[in-house]
Amino acid sequence: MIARDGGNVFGTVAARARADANAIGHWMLRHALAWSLVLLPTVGFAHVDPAGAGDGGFVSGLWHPVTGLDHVAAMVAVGLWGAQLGTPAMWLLPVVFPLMMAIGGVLGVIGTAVPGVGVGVAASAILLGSVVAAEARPPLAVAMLMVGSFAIFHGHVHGTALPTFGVPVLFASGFVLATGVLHLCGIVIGLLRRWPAGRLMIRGAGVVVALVGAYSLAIPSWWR
Amino acid sequence: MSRVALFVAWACGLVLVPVSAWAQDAVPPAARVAAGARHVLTEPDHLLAILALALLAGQVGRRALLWTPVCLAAGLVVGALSGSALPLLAQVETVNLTSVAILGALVALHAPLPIALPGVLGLVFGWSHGYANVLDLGGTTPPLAFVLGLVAGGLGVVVAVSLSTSALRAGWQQIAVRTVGSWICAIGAMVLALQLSGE
Repeated sequence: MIARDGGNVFGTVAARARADANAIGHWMLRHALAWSLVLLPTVGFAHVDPAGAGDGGFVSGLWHPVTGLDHVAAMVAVGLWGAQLGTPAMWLLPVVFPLMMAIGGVLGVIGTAVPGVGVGVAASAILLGSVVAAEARPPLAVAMLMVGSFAIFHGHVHGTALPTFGVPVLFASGFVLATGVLHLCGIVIGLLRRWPAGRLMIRGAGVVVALVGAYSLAIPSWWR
Repeated sequence: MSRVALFVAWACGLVLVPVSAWAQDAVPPAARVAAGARHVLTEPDHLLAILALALLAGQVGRRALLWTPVCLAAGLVVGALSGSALPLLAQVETVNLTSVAILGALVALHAPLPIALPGVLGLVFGWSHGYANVLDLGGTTPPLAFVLGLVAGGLGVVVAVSLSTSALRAGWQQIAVRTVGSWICAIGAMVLALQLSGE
């Protein structure tokens, strides 16, 4: 719809929009490191205190995924990657994730140990961030398998934290809804890929997600 | 426009008549109707199951849009009124959570299903959700007005959501419905596991 030649009003507007997007993208990339340093103190504290589930209601559940930056980063990365892959992956990955998360959640609830849950959550951020940064385009089945496998670790963490007090079904509704909203955030941000600067920005976000995962993975060895 | 005005007047009349008729009762039937509707709309396990059933009926479409509300209403009424005729079935709460997980999974998978399936599931799970109210009252049958509100609330959700869902045409809209189904399935499965693990 918009002319590319810049020779008319629409072309000029498009050129300005591209210039603005490039400027924003460059600015964000320049500041990505600074922002990531600001956010670092909260990294790696995802679900450290499963008992801290508040009143065990909807709002507590809503906050649960948001309190861990590694979890937030991985969830947003699912949406970002889906947006990069385009349809149908953009919409199928957020369907696969909750279904597989339910399996992990059930294992967590019944007390079945899944080896390396903490590592799995951090690794999910590293790998999902890496594929976003690399703009990897595997077959849909591989992407679904990868996201579904990571969802088991995230679900296990949530399942373990499911409170036996309050209203568990409301708590579960809260964190499932929050997880879905984080996916949606990733998809919305991923829509920026239609602009060259947006694509760069998304790849930069992938790098940040991977760094968050790496930091989260590194913490247990020397911080705790 | 005149049809809309007539419908609104008719609906207002239906709402106001019971209030005026039983205004002096200690617990007016209208309040019981409202309590029944409020119960089904605010209890998460009831609401999630009914929402998933409505989404399923909307996905299946055609005659399921008609028969699912009818079967759900029949199931709710029979379940709620069968309290005194049955021994106390404590496992009904587990069945209700199972219904949330199963219906959510069916919506998420969006597999081709028989047209009759949403109706059958509405009847079966309608019964269990209706009977859960008997359980809440320690085995006694809830008042008829409460059951009426229960059915009205359930029907309102099923009709509105299933018709809205069946009207969705764009691919992303249908996937959004599946996403909501996957959320409902996840919630139901985890809370069901919590209940079965004896916590």
